[in-house]
Amino acid sequence: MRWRWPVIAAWLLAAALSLLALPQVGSILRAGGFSAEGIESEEAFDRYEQDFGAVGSPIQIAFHHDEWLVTDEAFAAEAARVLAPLAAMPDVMRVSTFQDNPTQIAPDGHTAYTTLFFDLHPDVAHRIVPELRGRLAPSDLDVHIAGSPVYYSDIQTLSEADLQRAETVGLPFALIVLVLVFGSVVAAGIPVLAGGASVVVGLALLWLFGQQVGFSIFALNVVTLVGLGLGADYSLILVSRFREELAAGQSVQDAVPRTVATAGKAVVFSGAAVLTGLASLMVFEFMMLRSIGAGGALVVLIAVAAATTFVPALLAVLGPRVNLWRVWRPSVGPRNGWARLARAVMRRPLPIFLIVSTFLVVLGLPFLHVRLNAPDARVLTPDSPSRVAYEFLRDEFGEGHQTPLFLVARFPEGALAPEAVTAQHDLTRALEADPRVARVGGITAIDPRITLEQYQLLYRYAPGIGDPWARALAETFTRENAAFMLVEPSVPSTSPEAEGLVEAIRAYRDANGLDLLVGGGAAGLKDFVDRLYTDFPKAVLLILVITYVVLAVLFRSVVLPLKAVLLNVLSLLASFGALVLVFQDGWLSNVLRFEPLGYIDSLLPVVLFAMLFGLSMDYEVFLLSRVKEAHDDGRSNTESVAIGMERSGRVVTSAALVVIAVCLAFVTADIVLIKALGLGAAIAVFVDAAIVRALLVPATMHLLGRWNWWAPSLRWPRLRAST
Amino acid sequence: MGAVIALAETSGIDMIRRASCLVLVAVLLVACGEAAPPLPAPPPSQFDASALPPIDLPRDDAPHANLTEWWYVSGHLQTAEGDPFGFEFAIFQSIRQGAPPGYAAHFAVTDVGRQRFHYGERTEVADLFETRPAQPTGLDLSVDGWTLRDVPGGFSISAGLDTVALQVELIPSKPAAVHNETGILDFSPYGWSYYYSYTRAAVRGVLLDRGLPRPVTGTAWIDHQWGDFISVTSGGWDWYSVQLADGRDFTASVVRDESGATVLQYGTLVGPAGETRHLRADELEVRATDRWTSPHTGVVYPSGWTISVPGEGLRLHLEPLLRDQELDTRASTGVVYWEGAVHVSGDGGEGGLGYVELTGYGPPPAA
Repeated sequence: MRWRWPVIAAWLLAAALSLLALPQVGSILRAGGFSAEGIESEEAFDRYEQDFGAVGSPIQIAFHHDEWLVTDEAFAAEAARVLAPLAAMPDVMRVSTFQDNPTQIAPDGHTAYTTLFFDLHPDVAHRIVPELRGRLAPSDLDVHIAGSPVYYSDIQTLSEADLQRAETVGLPFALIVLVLVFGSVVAAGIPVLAGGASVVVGLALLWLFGQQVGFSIFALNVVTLVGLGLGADYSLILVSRFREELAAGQSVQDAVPRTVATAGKAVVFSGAAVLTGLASLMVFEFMMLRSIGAGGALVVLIAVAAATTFVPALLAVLGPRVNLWRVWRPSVGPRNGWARLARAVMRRPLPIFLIVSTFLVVLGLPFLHVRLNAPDARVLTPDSPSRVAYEFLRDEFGEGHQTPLFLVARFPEGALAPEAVTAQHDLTRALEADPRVARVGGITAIDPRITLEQYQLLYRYAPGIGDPWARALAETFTRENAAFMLVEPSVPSTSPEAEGLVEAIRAYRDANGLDLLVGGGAAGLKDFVDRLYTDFPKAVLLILVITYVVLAVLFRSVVLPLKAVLLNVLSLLASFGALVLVFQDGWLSNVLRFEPLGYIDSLLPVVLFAMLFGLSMDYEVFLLSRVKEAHDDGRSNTESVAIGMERSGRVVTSAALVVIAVCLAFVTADIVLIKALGLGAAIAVFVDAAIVRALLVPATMHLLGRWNWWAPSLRWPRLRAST
Repeated sequence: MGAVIALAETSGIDMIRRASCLVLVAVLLVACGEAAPPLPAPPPSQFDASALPPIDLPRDDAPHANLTEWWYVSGHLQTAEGDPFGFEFAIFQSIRQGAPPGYAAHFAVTDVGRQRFHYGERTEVADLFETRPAQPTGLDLSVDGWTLRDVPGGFSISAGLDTVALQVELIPSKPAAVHNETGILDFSPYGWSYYYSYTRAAVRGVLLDRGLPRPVTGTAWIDHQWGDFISVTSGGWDWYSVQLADGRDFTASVVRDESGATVLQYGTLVGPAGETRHLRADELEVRATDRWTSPHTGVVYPSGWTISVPGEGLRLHLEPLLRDQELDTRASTGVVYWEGAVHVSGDGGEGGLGYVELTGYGPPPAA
């Protein structure tokens, strides 16, 4: 109360300064972030760079003409003219033209590409794409730019556009919901102001910390979604309680501290639960997840800080004026409808528990046929330049051409020694006989008619290799004791067949005792998903244990937090099941404007679990806080539940509506992962607020009876929190 | 109470574990799916000569889609003034899966009178998008302007160097002679090939000698060999062709491994009417009678030979018409070799002309 003006001034100053940093946020974001120690595909890449030199970041410049052939002088001259300013860029370390490498010419003869290798780390290479595009001269040829840096550049562009759209849609949407809830524009404006401030300050801190550590491109949207949702949510709870206190006849001087002591404390615990979930992403080695976790945790702290300092300060200044600019007059205070519902449920707790639990399990069943994989260009909109380029090259060159597997081997006796040639020959033949393989590149892939003995003879007198083909391949694919092979799959890199191919090559390697590492394309995707789901149980366990402990301390109960955790898992499963139906199987894909991938982005369940576990538990926590408050006041278990429902029903519904509004705004995103995060969060919050809170919690509370409140006689911290 | 706490904690952890498993069950189900099929065993690649169809001419004069193919023409010419010349013209075709055919051509003229040897080489890669029939019906090869084509009754060649050029027609006067009885050679592990020769063809045309067109006539030997075989820098071969004045033609090939040991030796004797007799290794003997060291490359070649075919009562002596007939063609086919015109005399009074090719003596190609 005393520091209200300095607190408001400090927040406004922080927000104003943060606004200055916002345009720079994009500059610190990094692409990729999917590498980790001990992943075979990463080791393969490192070994390649050790043995063959740095690869850099390749970008393909593809050319096409409907009539000219690639070998026509006009085609070559035009391509050279377009390439000249691009190849002159300062970071270009190597150029591989289609004239140098005929595999860069498509079979139809009208399409070819030249690869520019940039001496830039893959995480930051996307930053040169705008300049590259700026240097593209108009041409008689159709020109496309493809490659990972271009993909990530488009991701960043779309991500920023998604963000603006989500803010443009989400904030007014949330404001409308809040106006409907509070009936007053001023009261509704406070959560929007707090949510906006949380996001702005959160993004500015992201920029500040981003000077030292890497933040993923995807952190931008997660920070905004969490910041906006929670900032508004928590503020709503405080404003609501404050209005309740005022309506109960409290003075502003008394209402503000009481609001902070009750609702503020609940917000702190809720924030702790959300923060725990997001911080669990730090368990992963991938920069992408760690940065989402760190960024998310940061913005949760800011949202909690805004709700417990900025909002009380505003409330202290506004006092009863919080109800100004009244649009309509909703009733303030508890409603008996929620209590009636709770009593109705508790009259038939077992059937309701069974029916609702079964319903949620059925909702979650589609998750049993989930197929997880890493995303490809289809996560972008069909007209995204990098997706257009990717699909153009895929159509012209085949599925695996852009994302080949690379096999890096070492042979102690030398890569061209007879034993090494034998090993490479046998593997090449086996790969060429596999229907999952379109093309193999390597020293023993000159022609299938050349026998093993002939290959051994061809390479026997290295470096004096007479055959020009063999000489060229030896120079490309071998160094001293090292050799590599390129394998272009005939199936999409994200398909189960491609994953099976990687497993088959590794099994062949193990069976034949080869010192060989498999990387690139499907191997990178498979390794990423495998590692992700090796670490996921650790993160899940961490979230569950910490959440359990936090809730156990809050409720001073052993059983209640356990029940809360289990019911939350149930609502998350339902959300996951819905995501499989929508994003894997394509339900509603026309309505939501996306192309179903046939699988779920492997990041989605992980990020969703981390983000939602705390978020969707809020409403149960708010309810149970009120239940416990009543129980602590000496009410019976059944009566406590009814009172808790009655007192928290309105605010929980309102808070959930705000979060759902914000989350649904992200469903307008062009990037499928962000769209799915928004939808998944909205579903989970809806299930938690509408089904778990309204039906399952009363039913289970009644079934467990006095066991709800059983706790060993320990020295529990004395805490009291309430909405 | 402690036990109760322990029980509660245990059951709590257990419940947490179960909850965690609920989330992970689907993932595990996916992970425990069917194992991916292993890499298949590659099909065996065993060469079976009996599975190859016989040579079919003139269809097989045309190019094939095998790994290696060459057309080799060598012969002796005489101008209207009686000046003798030797010539060699060869086109090599190399086809590898997924790549356009590569061509190389060698052209050499031996000016016997002036004791001068001229040679050159050219290369060309076929247009990537040239649509070629699987089995062309005619012979129409061009390597950077040097051509070998079929004409009614025979072939034509056209090639030129700075100081000498040749444009002639070659009309075989004998049917093609298939070697090794079937026309198929198995020289594993290097591979296998078809091999036949038009051992005697009348030559008529023009030799452009230092800018002067000089009508020439003469006799040529045309070899055509193709198959799935490779040329390597190890080992080599000596090839001899002889056209005797009495109408008989004779060829012998001696293939050596890297140690210089003979791994394959055979010959073909062609009668005046074109009848052929295959000569096994034990039916002929080849012996070098002299050596010559190249001033250009330092390579030491045999130079002068005696070839005996006891069963035919033949003992022929071959002497180079010019010692220095070495070709350094490392820029095109990657090898240094000797191919030159020779004079032939026999112990039985036979006389004739011939050509000899010596490979595998030269330095390895540049690394």
